[in-house]
Amino acid sequence: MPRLLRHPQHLPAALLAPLWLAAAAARAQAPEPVIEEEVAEEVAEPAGGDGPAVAPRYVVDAVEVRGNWKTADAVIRARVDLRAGEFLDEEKLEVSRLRLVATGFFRDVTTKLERGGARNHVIVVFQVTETVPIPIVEGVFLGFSQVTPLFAGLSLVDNNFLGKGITVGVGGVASPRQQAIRARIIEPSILGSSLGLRARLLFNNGQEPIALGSSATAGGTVSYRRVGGSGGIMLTEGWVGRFAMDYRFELLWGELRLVPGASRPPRLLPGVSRLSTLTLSFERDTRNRLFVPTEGSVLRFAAEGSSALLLSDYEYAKFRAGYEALLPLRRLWSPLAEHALSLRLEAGYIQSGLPTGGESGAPFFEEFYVGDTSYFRYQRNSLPRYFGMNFAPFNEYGDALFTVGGEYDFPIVSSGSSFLYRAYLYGAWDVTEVTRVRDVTARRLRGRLFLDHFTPTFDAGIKLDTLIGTFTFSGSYAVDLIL
Amino acid sequence: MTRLAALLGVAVFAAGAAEMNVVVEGRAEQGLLQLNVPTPGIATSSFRSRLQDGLTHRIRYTLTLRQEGQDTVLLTEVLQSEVVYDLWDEVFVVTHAEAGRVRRSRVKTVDKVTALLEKPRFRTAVPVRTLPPGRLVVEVRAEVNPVSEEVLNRTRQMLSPPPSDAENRAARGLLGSVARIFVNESSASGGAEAFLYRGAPFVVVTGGAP
Repeated sequence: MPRLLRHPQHLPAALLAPLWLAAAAARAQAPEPVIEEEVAEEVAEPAGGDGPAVAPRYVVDAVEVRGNWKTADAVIRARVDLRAGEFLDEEKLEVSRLRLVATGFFRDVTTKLERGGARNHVIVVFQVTETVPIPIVEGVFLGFSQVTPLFAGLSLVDNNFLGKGITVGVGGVASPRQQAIRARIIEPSILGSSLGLRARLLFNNGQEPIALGSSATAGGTVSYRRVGGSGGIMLTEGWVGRFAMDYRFELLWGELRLVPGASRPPRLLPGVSRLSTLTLSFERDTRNRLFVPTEGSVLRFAAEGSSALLLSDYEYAKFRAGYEALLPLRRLWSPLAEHALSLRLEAGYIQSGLPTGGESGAPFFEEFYVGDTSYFRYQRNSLPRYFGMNFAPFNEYGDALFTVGGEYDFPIVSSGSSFLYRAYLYGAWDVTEVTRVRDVTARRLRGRLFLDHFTPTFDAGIKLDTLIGTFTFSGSYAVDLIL
Repeated sequence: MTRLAALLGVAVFAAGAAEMNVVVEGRAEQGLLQLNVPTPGIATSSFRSRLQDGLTHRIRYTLTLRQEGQDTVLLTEVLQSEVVYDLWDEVFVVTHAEAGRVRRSRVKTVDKVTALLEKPRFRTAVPVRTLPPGRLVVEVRAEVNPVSEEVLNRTRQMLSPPPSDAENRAARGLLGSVARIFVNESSASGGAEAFLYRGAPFVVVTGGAP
């Protein structure tokens, strides 16, 4: 039975009062809601039956999946919330369809009913059209800096590995002296439940310069290797929240070659050491879409602990929280419906623990770095780290992070072709401060905060949503590479 | 048209929504205002092709009534139409629900369904005598297969970004963060479409009973 709808609540009450009063009086005299039968065309009722007049209440005889040649039937059925013998619930059917669409495995998913074995028994058909089974490029990294003539990297992911619905991703980035490799596997939904599993392997072979005086590189070098992995569970709660718990273990090898007088060297135990951490994280994401969202917000929080209790040689706790909100421009002026204006805030802090047989504080690659959150800037002395690898000469890390930024996206294509769905020009700004709390408390940075790292950075470019994925071309990065 | 936005119930009438000017008929039926607003083209070819899939298809018409030249909304009326194809009887059952009334029709062909959907009648509970003098204008927004709030909420969950490495989330490169998920948004929208019909100014015909 359809709901009877009426929405006068958003109208100016005072102006409508006379009409409402009149309507209320008319209704008071009216009988209870009635059903009017209008026979637009005579149709014979089924013989001997008093079948339902509106939507017949169907019983599901079977659920069939058609059109899948790569994705396993079980992967699809695990996301279908309908079973044989149940009464058909169309909302469940639609949610199941959307769940299949959201996997990204299919270009199209449609549903229909077919006659079942008896009257009002149906076969529910999911007709799917699979996407081209190629890995998706997650990231392409390319650049150079004062300390490396070239670095390049690539990250690929297959969200439906061998048709099993499992995400498998590999990536790597390398320069002549530094290399990093990552591999990950994610089962986003175990048997269609809200519980997921993920695991990751990592390898880093790095070397970073140490500053001396005004030189970013004259103080020596720190060489290190990281080998390890992590595993964790994810729990999707409600419609926007996701909890996760991950355990990570790494074997570290470090070597410091310091020139006398070198400034504070990066924190890393010499020789072999262990890093063992437990991370709890929460994410609440209400953004209305993945690519250039126009409404909603995302809140992230993560707390990571490393302790001798976990057999770690490092004692610290790391907290990080971030919030990004989209301003609802559509509500201000409808022509701006496809424009996106976002603001973001992020803060982090690393609390060093008691050095109970180990090192107090996080190894340097776990600390905050200004390039990770800020945009590109001229002379790029703070490139972002790729897979934890720093290719810039600037390697001052901190235990406190604060960043604020924003982005504006101007639509240039909002209803494109079958290949180019949407395109935007964007402009973004950011102010980031990464520092050490003890420096701030000692006021050694007083007056420098806004002049040193606390400088605004900008970016502008173009974003494309295409059949083969979404792309962001960063103009400032390209300019920076050329100049 | 913002396809996923339509799915998520936002900006359905953003730039790109189909707009059309129509001729509206306003009359008094037993002293109450009745509005006949043609909505040509509302049953698109894709909508018509899905009508025989045995599932329920909905169109929600939202009518707003104003005095000509005025911004103040005098009335908002919602009419919801549902079409269900009975797989055994091989007939379409079309149901119009509005402010306490339900009208139902059983027709055999898609063309007749289309005819019913393109001629919605709004039987308001507003006495004609309470209307202001002069000409009136109406605007009808029509949403085809609108998605319920419950489904929207569940869909948001499903479309949330897949879990990724925190260390790589902020990484920007020449190509930035490239494809993360393959989602055909038009598929996700389930064909949700929106139309806007602007009626020419009209005067209510009060030939009926007061």
